[in-house]
Amino acid sequence: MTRPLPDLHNHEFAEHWAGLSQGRVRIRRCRSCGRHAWPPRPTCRACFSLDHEWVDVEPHGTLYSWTVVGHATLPGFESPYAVVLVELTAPVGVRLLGSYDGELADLKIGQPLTARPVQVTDEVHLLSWSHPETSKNPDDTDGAVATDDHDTEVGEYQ
Amino acid sequence: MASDNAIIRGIGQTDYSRQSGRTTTLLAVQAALAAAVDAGLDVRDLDGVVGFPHSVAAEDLVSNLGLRALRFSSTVAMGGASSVAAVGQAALAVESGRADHVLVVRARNGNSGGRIHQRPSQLPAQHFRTQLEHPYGWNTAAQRYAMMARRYDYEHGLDRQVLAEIALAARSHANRNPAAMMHERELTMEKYLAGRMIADPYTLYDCCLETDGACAVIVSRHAGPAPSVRVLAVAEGRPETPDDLTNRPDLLRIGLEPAAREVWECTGLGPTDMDAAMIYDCFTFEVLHQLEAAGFAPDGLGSELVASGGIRLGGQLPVNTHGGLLSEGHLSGLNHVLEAVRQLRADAPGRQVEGARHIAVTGWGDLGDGSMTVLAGQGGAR
Ligand SMILES: [Zn+2]
Repeated sequence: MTRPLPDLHNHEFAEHWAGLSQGRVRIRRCRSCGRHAWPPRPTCRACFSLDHEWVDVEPHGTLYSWTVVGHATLPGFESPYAVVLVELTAPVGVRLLGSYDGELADLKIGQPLTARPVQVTDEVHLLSWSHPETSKNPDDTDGAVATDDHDTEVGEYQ
Repeated sequence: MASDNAIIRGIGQTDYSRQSGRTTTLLAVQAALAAAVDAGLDVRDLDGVVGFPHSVAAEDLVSNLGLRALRFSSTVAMGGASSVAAVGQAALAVESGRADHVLVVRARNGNSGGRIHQRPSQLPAQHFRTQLEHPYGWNTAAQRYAMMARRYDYEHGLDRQVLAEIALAARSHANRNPAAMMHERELTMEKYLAGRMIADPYTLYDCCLETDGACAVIVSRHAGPAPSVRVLAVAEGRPETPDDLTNRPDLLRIGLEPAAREVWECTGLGPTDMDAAMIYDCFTFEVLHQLEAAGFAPDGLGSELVASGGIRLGGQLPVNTHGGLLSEGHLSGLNHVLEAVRQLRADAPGRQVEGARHIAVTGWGDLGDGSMTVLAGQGGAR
């Protein structure tokens, strides 16, 4: 058995996974009120519009919460491993789940973290968060996340 | 919902074990028969059933109990918050006249029938779970709620000694309850601290048991031979995003908060009127969290109540005098309702809360759904 992987053809999330494979972190934004939304739902939680688009966000944030799993129950995972929930610097309030590349003892809520997509199969890239000073060189093969700063308007999430 | 006429007329249960060797249908039948005897009713006269998803259905019970005229049935899907919410539906049914005697039954082979992570998930928004969470190795209740506990620790401080006290108090109560799975197993601080890590901060003894067995409750308008226990109010509530934990604006605001507010408002009673509380204890931290959400302690200060010995028998607010999910057994919290009824009937030898008149029971499920009821015995509010 292999580790659980996202279904790249599930249209609810396909843009997100396609983004990661191109080195970009993409989430949903409401076309009507401009709020960012994650996870993606059919309706905007702020204005209930059904009209959305996908936008890039910068993969920087602070650790909101975490756990270290000591008893793994999924194939492909070996204990101990951490799961982190990171609140993005912008758009404010949006949080992304991910794996963690760092010392478990360094997991401290409020600390800055930076994400990069990590290739786990030929097709699938997942988000991995690490401390900025130990982040891999952005020039490394698949390490870099594009940092377009098109997203200047910081919408309050939800 | 305030309830004027609903009474818990009968309770019944099977043995709680790791390996029942019976089907869930048989377990449900045994618990239902015991509850009917306790209620002084012919089981065939039960005319309402409230059950759980993917478990014994009303149709199974019609055939196996010989129900003559089932007029009302429903299924509640709030995870562990379902048991208390189900009592609420039963109360609604008898008060509206849709049924006279409603059976709430929970039967499971929670241990022998496949471990928790192997069961089909009943959580809402499965696509978020399978697509966004499982790929990162975030797939069990312990792991999800650990994220809340870690956040609580950051905001308010969470001492390991407090989690330990919740586990130890539950075990000391189970040691007084012959029906508890852990009746004869003592838990010491040393043993607690040696428990292996499950999902930080939860170690082995912070986690509930997995149990085979069944519980049943019969709700009616009139009392039977046993002392009557009145359902004063039942409410359910949901957090802001019940389909997702990750982007909930405040991870620590849970569905029990509005449910408790409604119950206190409906009954005119408050936390200090409760002689005991049965708190849904899937993990130790959830007890602390719900004590605060239900108003038994101010936000962030539940640790004081726990650390002072307040949740033990003889303390300010005895909690889970049967041992709870942590040490009696995991019957989805319907066993908490049974314990409240026993206490209010003054029928909990060896662990009786003397003079108990009002007991609050909470439920917690899925991604923070909540439910709560207040039950009253002799001398309690009407
Ligand atoms: Zn909108």
